[in-house]
Amino acid sequence: MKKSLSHYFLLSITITFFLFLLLGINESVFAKVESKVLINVTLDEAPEDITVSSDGATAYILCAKNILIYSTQENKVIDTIPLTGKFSQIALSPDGGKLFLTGAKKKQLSIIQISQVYDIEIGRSPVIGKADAPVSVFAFLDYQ
Amino acid sequence: MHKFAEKASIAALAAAKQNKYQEITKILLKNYKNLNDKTITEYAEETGLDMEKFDKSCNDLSIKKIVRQDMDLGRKVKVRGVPAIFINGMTVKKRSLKDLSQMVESELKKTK
Repeated sequence: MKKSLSHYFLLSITITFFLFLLLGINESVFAKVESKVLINVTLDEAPEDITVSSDGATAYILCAKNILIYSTQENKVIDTIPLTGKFSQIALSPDGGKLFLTGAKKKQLSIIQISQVYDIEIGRSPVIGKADAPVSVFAFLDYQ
Repeated sequence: MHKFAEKASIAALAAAKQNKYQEITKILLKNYKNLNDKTITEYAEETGLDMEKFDKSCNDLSIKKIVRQDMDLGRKVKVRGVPAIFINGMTVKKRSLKDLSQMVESELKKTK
């Protein structure tokens, strides 16, 4: 049977549509990922698990004897928390105020409250009291 | 940050040069809803400042620099709202008088 010109036209549109569909699928499956190593350091202790603060500035690295607190801004361990137990996993609460540790072998759960201590320079703005007072209270106001 | 907050901070530091920081701060905080160029000058006069010295201090670049540095410091220590209070560098989350007292007592014990 002789096929009309319109039949071949419709066939070519259909093939083109499927080609676009296939190309579209390929694009989403094989999306390109660009990567760049930002930090690559050797730690003093072997890491077992890690959790990161919501802003990505602080990493809490669980090791056998300590939690290493790593600043991704300063690129170094800024503090350590000694552990009294064997833990295998670590997680940070959404508000960044508590660390949750679990140890599978001894069915252990430990919750540690943490507060970041900032080095705030005092003396630039007006001060009430002695400069060498054992406790300093720093208030940010904005007047409006 | 609010429109006249920076200007009010500069005014407070300018008043501090004449030892009137607490006086002007009280007035500025009391009238926080009514701050603009005109009222800040009126509050400075109300505080009893030498206005010639005050105007000169308000244009002093070193004072403007302190305010900018404090704003940068606020960003660095993650201040997301004011007032924000820190005791020995730690953020105060519970700000009742009882909680503040407990935190100060706790810090004092660490020094003993």
